[in-house]
Amino acid sequence: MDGFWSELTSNRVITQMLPEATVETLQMVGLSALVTLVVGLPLGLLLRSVAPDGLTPNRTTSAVLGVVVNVLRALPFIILAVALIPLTRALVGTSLGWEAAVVPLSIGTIPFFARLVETAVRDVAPGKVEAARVMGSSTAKVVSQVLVREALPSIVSAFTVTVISLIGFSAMVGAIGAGGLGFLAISYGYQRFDATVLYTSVVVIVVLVTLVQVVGDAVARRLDHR
Amino acid sequence: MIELSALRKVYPSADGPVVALDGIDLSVGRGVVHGIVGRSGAGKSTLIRCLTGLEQPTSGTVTVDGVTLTGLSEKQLRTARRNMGMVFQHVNLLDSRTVAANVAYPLEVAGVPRDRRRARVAELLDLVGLGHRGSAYPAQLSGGQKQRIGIARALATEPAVLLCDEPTSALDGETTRQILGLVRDLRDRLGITVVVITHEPSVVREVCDEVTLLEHGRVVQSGPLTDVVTATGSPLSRALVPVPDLPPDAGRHLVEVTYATDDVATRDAFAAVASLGDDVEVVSATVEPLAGRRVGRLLLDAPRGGTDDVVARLRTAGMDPVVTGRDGVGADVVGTGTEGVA
Repeated sequence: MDGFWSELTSNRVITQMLPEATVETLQMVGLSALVTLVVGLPLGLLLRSVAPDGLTPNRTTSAVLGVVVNVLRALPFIILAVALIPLTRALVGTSLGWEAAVVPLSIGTIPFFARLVETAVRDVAPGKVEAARVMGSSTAKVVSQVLVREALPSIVSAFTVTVISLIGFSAMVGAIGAGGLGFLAISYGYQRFDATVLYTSVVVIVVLVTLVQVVGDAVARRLDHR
Repeated sequence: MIELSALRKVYPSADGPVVALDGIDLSVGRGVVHGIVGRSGAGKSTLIRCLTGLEQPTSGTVTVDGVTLTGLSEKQLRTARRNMGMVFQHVNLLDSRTVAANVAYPLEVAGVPRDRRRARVAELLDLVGLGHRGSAYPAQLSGGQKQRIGIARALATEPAVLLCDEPTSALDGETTRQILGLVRDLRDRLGITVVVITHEPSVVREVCDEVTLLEHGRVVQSGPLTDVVTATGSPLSRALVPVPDLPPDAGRHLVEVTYATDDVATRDAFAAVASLGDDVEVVSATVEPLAGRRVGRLLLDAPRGGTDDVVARLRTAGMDPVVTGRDGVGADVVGTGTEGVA
């Protein structure tokens, strides 16, 4: 145990690079999560609304959105990330660094989160929507006060799952130049055979995932009055 | 208060158009509790959806409190709906809101300021006897309490009309009686007009002043409860004044008579039956309290060929008998089982 601790405190990759890599991972996951929430939530609500049994059925929009979401979700993330390099360069100016990683990360998780939101909202009893409409609610009010509010515990759980998968994806983009814990684990831990770096990175990732899950569960439980 | 005129609703379907409502004319006066009964698929739910404007009729008009709903824009309809409260079979409270916030919802929609909302909610919760449960969540209430909150919510905007879609079908007997008592009490105190859709004859007996029977989208029978139940042989009198099962050896030629005890005393009715002689057997009978009076219904097994004589003699005693086959006497025109909103 002593050997492990001294290795941990003397390994220069860990003492000098791990804190920075952790911050990079937090930054890229945090910003991507925010973008995913801001774009994915409305997209999920739209998917539900234009469905044949939604509030404002629209066959064409439903079909087009469905195809786009399915295609994006069907692509393995690492392939999507590589394929998006030109777009990333156009948007961010570079394809390297955590800022650049936000582009493929967001595009990869938005469709996933949107589908989860759609499912969560679909589970709201149709009777509640009907009741709200009879009480004179506009469509916007039905969406905000009934669909989103009633599905909020499920939406929070969906967002938790999304953030956790973002942490996983962030390690993958680390391998193609995004930095962060994934980059550290691959280039210093795996490629330089430094097991301490590899497993320490893994432990930090596990801790992050656990924290997100615990917080997400607590928030969802607090919001759930069913 | 409510006027339906030549109301028709046709749904397109893969197997051709389905006629849900086929020319409904109906008028419900202010302060009346009007029951609408019928089997599943008779058009009850479509009718109530047309009343709320959630469904636009194919033709005909719906007028509620002087406002013709047909042809209104969605925005005008939303305003018109504030003059209607609706109570649902499954209550449909929002689980994420407290009881008080649920009752406040229609007031928020109507743009009532916060302090007036709070006062009105307190008043409404007291009205339904749950003044102390405002901060609870719906999940913490019993089925009957939830429906009380559903009623408080429906009354929030002081509507002229209360629409109840199977309000007690998910409740037990005692809770049903309490909820119906509350509805009647609200009508008496607020003078609100109530339409109750139900498949339960007991609901009609307990709470309705008038009743309409729908079948295949048409009105089969309609009128004040006292009139429909004493119309001997009519489907509603059979459904609302049920008699015990006939003995298996009862004859096939029966004479049926329904009477109100303030028109014909039961003693006189029985005397008339006794005077028919030994050949005439009473195979089933009941006397039930209904619409503030008592209504009797008798089924007599008359000897072959003797039915006309029995009918004539009962008529002399002031009753209005009909000859019937044994199949028709227990006609289940209201149906059984629960139905959803849609």
